Amino acid sequence: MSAVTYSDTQVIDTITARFVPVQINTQEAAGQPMVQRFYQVWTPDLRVASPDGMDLYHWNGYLPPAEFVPQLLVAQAHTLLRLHDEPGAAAVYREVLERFPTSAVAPEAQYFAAVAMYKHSHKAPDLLDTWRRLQTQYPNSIWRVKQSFTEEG
Amino acid sequence: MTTITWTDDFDTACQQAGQDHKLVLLDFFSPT
Repeated sequence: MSAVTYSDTQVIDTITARFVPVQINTQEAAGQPMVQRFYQVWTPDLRVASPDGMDLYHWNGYLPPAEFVPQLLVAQAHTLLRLHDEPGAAAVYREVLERFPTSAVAPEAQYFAAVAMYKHSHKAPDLLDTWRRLQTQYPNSIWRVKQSFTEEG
Repeated sequence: MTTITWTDDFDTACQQAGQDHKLVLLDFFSPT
């Protein structure tokens, strides 16, 4: 991760602008209290936590910069959503869809953009019309399947 | 070249995130 992903300018800029970054070496004794506190088992292991110390999004595994940045933005958006900042979350999901429409996490961003918009507006079209884009933009995604009960026929 | 300034102090990072209106990115890594 450090040799490639964390050396990438876009990764550095994204982390620096939006996060306070913490690294825990799981092989050192000093890291063991954090390993136990977060039930950590496998690296790379990335979490996004709220300022009160709750980890609200988690993923494992190496990602190159082109996938790391959109994954990090989705993690930010999910965390904002769970903190009930629905407009903030929707804006970051839309950013993923605009900047990284072919990334692996784009369908997830499309699905939850609809959720964030609906939870803010309570208007059904915000949910259903935004989900419908999964049918056209990401028809083979599991996130399309997760809204398929809304599809006709 | 700009680099990421990491800390290993999670609780202080949380306080800083609250003050700066940011979130905390927590990276558990293994150097081997």
